[in-house]
Amino acid sequence: MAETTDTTREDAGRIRPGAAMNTSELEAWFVREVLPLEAALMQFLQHNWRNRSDIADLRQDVYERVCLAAQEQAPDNTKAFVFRTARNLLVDRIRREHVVPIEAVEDVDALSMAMDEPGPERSAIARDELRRLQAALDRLPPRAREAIVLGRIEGLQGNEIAQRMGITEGVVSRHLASGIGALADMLYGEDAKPRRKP
Amino acid sequence: MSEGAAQTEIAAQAADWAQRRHFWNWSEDDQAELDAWLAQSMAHRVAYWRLNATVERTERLTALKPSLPERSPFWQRRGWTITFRAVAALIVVAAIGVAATEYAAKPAPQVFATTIGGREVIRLKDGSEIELNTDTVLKIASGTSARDVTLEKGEAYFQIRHNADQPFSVTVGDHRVVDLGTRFLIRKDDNALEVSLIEGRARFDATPQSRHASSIDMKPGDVVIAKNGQVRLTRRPERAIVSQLGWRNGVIVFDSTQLSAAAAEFNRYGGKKLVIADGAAAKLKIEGTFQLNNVEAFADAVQVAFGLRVEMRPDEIRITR
Repeated sequence: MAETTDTTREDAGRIRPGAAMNTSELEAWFVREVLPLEAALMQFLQHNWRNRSDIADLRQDVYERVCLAAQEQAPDNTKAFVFRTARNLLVDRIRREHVVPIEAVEDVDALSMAMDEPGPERSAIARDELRRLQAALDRLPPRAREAIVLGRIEGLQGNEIAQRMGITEGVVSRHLASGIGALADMLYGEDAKPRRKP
Repeated sequence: MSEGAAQTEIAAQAADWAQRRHFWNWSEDDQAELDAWLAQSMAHRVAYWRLNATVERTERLTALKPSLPERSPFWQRRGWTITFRAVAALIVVAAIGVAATEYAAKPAPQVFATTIGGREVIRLKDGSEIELNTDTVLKIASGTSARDVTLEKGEAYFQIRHNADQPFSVTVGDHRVVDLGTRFLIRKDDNALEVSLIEGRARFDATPQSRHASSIDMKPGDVVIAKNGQVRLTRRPERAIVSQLGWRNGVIVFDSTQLSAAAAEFNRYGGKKLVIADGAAAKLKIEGTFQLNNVEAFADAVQVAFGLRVEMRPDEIRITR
């Protein structure tokens, strides 16, 4: 994109606030800046929305709104923007469904300030990444875990996984799909609490 | 703005795309189809991006893969299982030529043996399967029935088709496990025997020749440990038993396992010997899933996680503080 051609090397990949983004820039921005906020966002949604079964859908609605807006104009403060969007979404829902008084929604600005930045300490995070991945993997249902381990660690293709596990390819697909969904919820939706061993 | 039900449906579709994209053959046509689906709405895109990023994060797990070029294990190659019994019989004849005369009088049992680091699957005529882990010797009585096996040493996982007329029995030393339609794991080390029942029912008792009198009806989750002439029944959560079966997928799963025990586990599979040369380090606990034939990757992970020193020697890997 023309607007970013003159950026310095340190800025490479960074999106200039206010600029429009093409699809691949938007995806990169979403993965880099929005997804790390998911644990905090889930906390916010759970705190402010009674019906637990709506939460995952609300999260996706927030992502959809955020990205629709950001492709026109990248926000200068991603976190503030995500939480403002979440708040507005809840307010819209409340108005429409007449369920909870509007005051129930917390002051977003106060809340988002209180929460930790995902921070630039990427190397510290990377150290725990492998352990975190393994812990998440270990918590998957056994069959989903087996399918994902065979695919990721042993590098088997889906049809080979089916052969190895003695199940049909369709069932392998379902295990993989549900496993990926559960991993996403654990890796993004839960707080990273690296458990330090002595 | 999408409605809730629509988001749930989109999430399911996105998960299906993510698994197709990363775990199956992927053609240009597939990519075109995915691109078309993504182009339909931002809801599709964000749902897919999130799951795609998740799978890409798991790519770090492939760091655990061995760096040497891999041959797929023989049991995954097509056609092997059909010829397995015949080939195995030949190997046995070649390997125990001396013993052959000894068995000449009565029908010879089939002997299945794995090397250190080896793994084999035996499929029986009745549909039962026995999977042998590293350094294991299993004998199967000859004859059409072949429902009597002996585990001489090592570890084997049994998935047995029940036959009320002909119970399947495994003899290990003085002890015997008689299945009543089950999946179970038996591990025999130098001084201990451990039987874990995963599914179904089984009876743990003594061989007719032995003087032990213990007989235990096992339920799923039960673990019988026979050690120093004592037999003990305990229970383990399903998760722990499933972890014990990691070797079937080529991995070792540690769940709060001390480094000394983890090293012993790796050393069962050959490769460079892992030595924890520090008493305090030996007591550190580790969790996670590791490629069982890549002790180097494990040593790297330990180094990173605990800040320990790893010294690569020609024949061993020493871990110190």
